[in-house]
Amino acid sequence: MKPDRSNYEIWITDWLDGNLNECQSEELMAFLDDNPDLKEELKGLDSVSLKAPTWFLKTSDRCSDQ
Amino acid sequence: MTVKEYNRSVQEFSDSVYRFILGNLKDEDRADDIVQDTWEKLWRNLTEIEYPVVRSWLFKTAYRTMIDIIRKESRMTRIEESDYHDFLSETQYSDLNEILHLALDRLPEHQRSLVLLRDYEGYSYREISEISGMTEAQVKINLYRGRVALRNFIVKIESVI
Repeated sequence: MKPDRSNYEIWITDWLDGNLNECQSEELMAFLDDNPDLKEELKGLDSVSLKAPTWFLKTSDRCSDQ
Repeated sequence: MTVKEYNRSVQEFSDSVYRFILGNLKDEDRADDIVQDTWEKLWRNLTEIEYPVVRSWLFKTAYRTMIDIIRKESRMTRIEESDYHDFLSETQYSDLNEILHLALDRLPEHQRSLVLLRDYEGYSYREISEISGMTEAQVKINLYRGRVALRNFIVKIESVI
């Protein structure tokens, strides 16, 4: 399976997770070079990851530490 | 599963299930109700559920209960242009994680749940697939689209600042 417009999200997700081998990464990069709109979409995506803030703890749990 | 294992499950997974639901709904009362309902369902099905799979069973059950409620309430929100200005008019946000959480609230519910399962709970795509009922490919596609929407929100915030 090669990257195309029907499956590129899956390829990019695998690439961001480091799950593509060297050949697959090259295939993806070549595809993105041919599709600059999708390449643009990728910018800054690696920084989009959420950390659970402390306010997600239940009140009882927050109070138990005090 | 034994009663002892049930009690152990409550001890180990109660907080993470609650955090997942609260992260989606931002409503403590409704999150409490859904988590309570999930534990009751587990209790009723105690003999049919093995302890090794209880964590994903709990998340799956809580997730589906929540989705049913959301759909009933037609609570679907999307990122809209005016939102960026509303946020900025109220407060200045400097912390990326805080901005991401504001954006998270405006994702479609199915994308928001996937981001929380992946980023908060560290579930694999296969596990998220089992919990959400989506295929692994659908999970990856929706996660990617959710992250693009979150990134776009950050970019718009920065452009307004």
